[in-house]
Amino acid sequence: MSKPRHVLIVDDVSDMRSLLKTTLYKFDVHDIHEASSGQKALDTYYEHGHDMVFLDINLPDISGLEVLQKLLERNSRVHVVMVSGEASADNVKGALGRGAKGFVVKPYSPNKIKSALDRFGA
Amino acid sequence: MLYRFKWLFLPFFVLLLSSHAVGSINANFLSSSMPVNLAPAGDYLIDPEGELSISQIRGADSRLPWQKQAEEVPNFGFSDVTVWARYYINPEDNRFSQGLIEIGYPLLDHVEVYLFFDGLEIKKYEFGDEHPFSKRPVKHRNFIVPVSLFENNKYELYIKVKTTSSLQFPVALWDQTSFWESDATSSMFSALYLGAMAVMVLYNFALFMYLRERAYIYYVSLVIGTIGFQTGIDGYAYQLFFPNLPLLQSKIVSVSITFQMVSAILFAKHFLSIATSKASLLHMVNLMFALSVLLFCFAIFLPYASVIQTISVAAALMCMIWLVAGIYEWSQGNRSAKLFVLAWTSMVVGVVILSLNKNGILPRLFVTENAMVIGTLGQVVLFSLALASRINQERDEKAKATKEALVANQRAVENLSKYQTLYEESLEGMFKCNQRGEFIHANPAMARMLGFESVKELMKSRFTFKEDLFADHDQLTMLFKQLRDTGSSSEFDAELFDRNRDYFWGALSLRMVDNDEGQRKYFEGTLRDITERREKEKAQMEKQAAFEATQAKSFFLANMSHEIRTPLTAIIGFAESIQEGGLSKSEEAGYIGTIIRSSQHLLHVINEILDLSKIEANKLDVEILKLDLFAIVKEAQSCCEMKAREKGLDFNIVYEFPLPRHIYSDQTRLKQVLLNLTSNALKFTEQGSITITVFRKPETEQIGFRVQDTGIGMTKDQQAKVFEAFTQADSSTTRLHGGTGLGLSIAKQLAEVMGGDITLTSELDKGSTFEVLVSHGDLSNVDWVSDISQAGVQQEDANAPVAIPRLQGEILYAEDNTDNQDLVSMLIKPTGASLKIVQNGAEAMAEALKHQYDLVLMDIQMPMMSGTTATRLLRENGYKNPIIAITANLMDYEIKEYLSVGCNGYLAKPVNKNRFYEVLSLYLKVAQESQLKEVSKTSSPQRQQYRGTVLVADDVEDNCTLFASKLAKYGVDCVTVEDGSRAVEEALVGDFDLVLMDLNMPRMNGDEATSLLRNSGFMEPIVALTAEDDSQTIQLLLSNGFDGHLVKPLSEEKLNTVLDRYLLPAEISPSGSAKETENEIATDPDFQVLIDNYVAGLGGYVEKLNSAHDDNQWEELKGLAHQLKGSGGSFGFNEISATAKELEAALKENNIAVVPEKFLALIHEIGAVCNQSIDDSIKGLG
Repeated sequence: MSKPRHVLIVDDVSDMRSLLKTTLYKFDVHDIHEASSGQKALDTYYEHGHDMVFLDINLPDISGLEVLQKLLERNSRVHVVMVSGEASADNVKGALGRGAKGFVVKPYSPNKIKSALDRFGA
Repeated sequence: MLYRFKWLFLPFFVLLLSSHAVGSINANFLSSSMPVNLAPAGDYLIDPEGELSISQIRGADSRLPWQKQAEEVPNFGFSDVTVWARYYINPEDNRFSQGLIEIGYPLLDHVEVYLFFDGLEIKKYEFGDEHPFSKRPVKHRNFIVPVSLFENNKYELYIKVKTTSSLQFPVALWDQTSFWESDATSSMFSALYLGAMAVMVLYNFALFMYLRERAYIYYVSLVIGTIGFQTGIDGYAYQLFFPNLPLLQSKIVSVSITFQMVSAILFAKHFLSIATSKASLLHMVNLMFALSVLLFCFAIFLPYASVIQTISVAAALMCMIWLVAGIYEWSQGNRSAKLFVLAWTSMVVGVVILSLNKNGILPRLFVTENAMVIGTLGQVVLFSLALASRINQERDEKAKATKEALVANQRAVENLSKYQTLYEESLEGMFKCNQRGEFIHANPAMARMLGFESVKELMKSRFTFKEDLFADHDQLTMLFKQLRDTGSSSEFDAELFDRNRDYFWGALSLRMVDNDEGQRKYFEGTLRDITERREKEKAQMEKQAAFEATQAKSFFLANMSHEIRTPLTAIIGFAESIQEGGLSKSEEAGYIGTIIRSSQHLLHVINEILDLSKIEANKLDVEILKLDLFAIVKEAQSCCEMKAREKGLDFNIVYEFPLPRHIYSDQTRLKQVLLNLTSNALKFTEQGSITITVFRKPETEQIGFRVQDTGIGMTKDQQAKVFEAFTQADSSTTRLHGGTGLGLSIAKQLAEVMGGDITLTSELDKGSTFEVLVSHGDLSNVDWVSDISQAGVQQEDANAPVAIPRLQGEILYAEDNTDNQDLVSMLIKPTGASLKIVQNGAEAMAEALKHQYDLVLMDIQMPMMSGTTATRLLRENGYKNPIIAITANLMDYEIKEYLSVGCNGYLAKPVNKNRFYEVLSLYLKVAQESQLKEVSKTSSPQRQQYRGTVLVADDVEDNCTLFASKLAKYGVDCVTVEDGSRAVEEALVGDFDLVLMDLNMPRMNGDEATSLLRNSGFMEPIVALTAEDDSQTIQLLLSNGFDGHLVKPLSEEKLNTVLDRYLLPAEISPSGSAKETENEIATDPDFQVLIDNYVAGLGGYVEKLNSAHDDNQWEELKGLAHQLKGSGGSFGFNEISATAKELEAALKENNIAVVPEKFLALIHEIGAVCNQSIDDSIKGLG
């Protein structure tokens, strides 16, 4: 099972970013960037070209779904896992339909993050 | 009318006809001028009888009434008398020594001339039109007698005249020289006249031959008529043309004048275009014409006088008419009409002048004497000019019209070429056919469509519209009916043949075409090839039909599935409850009752499906045996009467006696049909009655049962569908009233197999009557029942408790299904027989060959080796003891197979207790009481306990409850949701070890939910709950992300297997799994720092929450709640997430009333976390 080398965490709440970052460290993922808004996420991505993105849907500027679309436009193979507090089936369907490779519901246990990591490359 | 005006015309024409004399006589007798008119000197005697002879005349002189005549020319009109004239002549000189006496009227029939000198007859002549011309002494048109009268001699001249024409005789005395001089002049004049007329005739006839204009031939006829008339009355005709035919001379005038009249009418009519332009005149002219033609035809036979008189009147009238009509035409600008009028005027003037001359008003001159001749000559010439003018006029008009036609033609040609291109290159076929359907025209597209190379080929062929084109003659008939009724037909779609008799579909548009006479001689139209469209439509329709059939089958299957599962649910549920124990006796009895009822219903449903499939496969056999008619009815009665009474319905049976006691039919099937109809009636009737009438229909040798109810009835639509399988009268009815909806379909088909039928009459809300007829077979040897007292029947009590026989012996039972094993052992145990159970055919064979059992019960469908194979092998190995097949496979051919391989009999599954014991008793010894063995009790197995949480998704609440309770027994926590989308949400949010996912759920089905979950990274096992377990379905499930499946209804064993596979046993504490990782992370110091930071930050959240709440900033508050929901749990504070979620939900739903409460709960939770943290810190410090 391959592991992502560069990961981008997109969330407007810094605590959540820290938590996810720490969790990823635990799973041996160390090359991590953070972004607190959609625009910043795109800028960072364009600069570094990550191979995996944890993307919150509720962002202050651009919707996470829109960011997802732009990311995929840039690189259709980027592995994006959507993160959201809304787990409704429609939400999930919408995100997956737009090309996300996973969906993690907040609050999440480290286990779920592991699952998402495990599926990288799938 | 005509008669009244007779006086007006008659004299005029009589004058015209009578007063024509060439010679004239001077009043002065013996004057020097020539000739000497003898008339004034004459005495006249009318001899009415015409019998007087010359001697009598002379002799009886004094006694006869001789008279003088005042006129210059004696005129006696049309009279049939004989007239005598007497002249005393005494010449003063010898002028007449070579003289001539002339009677100047050539139309006299009979003339006798006597000349006496000194009382002696010196000359006697007899001549006239009745006599040949050659007998005349002088060959002249007038009657001439040569005389020699000498000076101072006294002569007596007697002339006797008799004629049918008007009687007049101008008598003149000439000297020969003067006579011949005068005659030469008048002859020349006549010759000129005749010559002119002849020229006119020839010239105009030539014109006619050249121009072919009818007016000319009429004109020629008119001139010929005039010539005939003129020469007739002048005597020239007789003299020159037919001197030896006196008969002709007598008729020539009347024939000529009528011919002249006919010609004149034709000529004028044609000339003035009476037929087209003067409709008002036409009638009268036609009448005149008819009269003239009649007169002409009979002129020979009619008396001269009446012909002439009638013609005179008609001619006068016609003359007026022509003048008036001509003047009218003239005034309308018709130049030729002027000449026409002048021509008639010329003639009329001629006649008038002549008559005035004759009456002495005008002086007697050559011109006035010959006015008539000149008039007619003028007329003829003017007519000729008029004709020429008219022809010129017509030619001009024709030239003009021709020019116009040329222009129009040119234009038409231009248009035509435009349309011709359209016609030639059109993709639509265009054609014209005659009444027989032969093609008259067609365009290339038409020829192509009909399979011809060219239009020419089509025209040459015998291919006709009516004979060859239509594939279906009815369509042709229909098309022509439409055409006859409305004159046209558009877009008529028909299946057609081309010349090679290949089918194609065409759209025809036709219309009838009238010819000039308004007869429908042709039809024309267009043809379009619509085969492609038709085929598309057909394919579409077939697709639709296939789709509908599939729909119906799916609906049927779904319904069947429902019908089967419903009783099964009750059976399993209640059976399990009983198994659990702890029920009171009455509860248990009730449950068992339900189980049995449900099972029976299930069996019934399955039997119906089987029946139907047998019928569909044409495999339904009936067994015709002698059976008790009344017993059958009684059975239906006993089955339904109680239920009817319970519902408050009257239940009646009416027998129409006499009836046979026994009939020949299939007992089971007949009973089935009857029961079906009665229970059907029962189902749909809420009040009133149900009546079964039993009757016989001797003419068809049938027994009938009429089941009549006063129930809800059916609409016509429902009636039409009620006997159809798969299609239910109304699926909602089925839901409401239960049943499979197959019963009636089966019943009808059964009745048909039994030589009858079922018919239905029904009225909505009034009730239905089903009448079933079945053939009753040969009744010659059966008893007849004539009243109800004889109809008593003995009845088997099907519901009596089953007596368990006491048996002795060893039984081997081969069966792979443990439930059936249990059932059979339960049944056998109380009998006292011993039982050995093996799992399959192979084991059974080994066991049986090892040990001789008294009886082998052999299941048919078993793994390893089927029952049939095992039986066959046993028999082949010399096994002699009885073997009974015990099976659910009960198709006729299957049963035959069991018996053929060596089974002694068969038992149907589900097992009927009575029959089971019956068979057992047949093959085993009945035991003594003492030999019975004690039965040991089996203990129920201990249930395995598991750890974990299971998510169950199923839309049927009962199923969820059932799962929850079952899982609880395994010590497993369970969350249930009612559809796929909820399952997705719950599975992603929660922490489950296993998901049980029903496939058919509303909103989102199990397949989609699973696929979503898998795509979003859900890794836990998902097991499908299915109704089917064929390998194809399972394969599909696995590829869709399922890990396994459980077949419904749920078997305890299978559930156990699934739990065992996916959950940890309770006694094993969680280790090495994901849970371990989680624990590890939770206690990791790195995380502890994060958690501490998070908790430290919570104070800030509280402030923000408070201010948002106090300021009613709901959006702000919602955002905060959302963040806390996401973060709380992530840091291990699930309560914060939970309360935050509730607050967010309340705000989302705008449920402001509960917001304060939720808000406080969240604040409280955060506070609790903060306090805990502080406590921990203190502890840590301590």
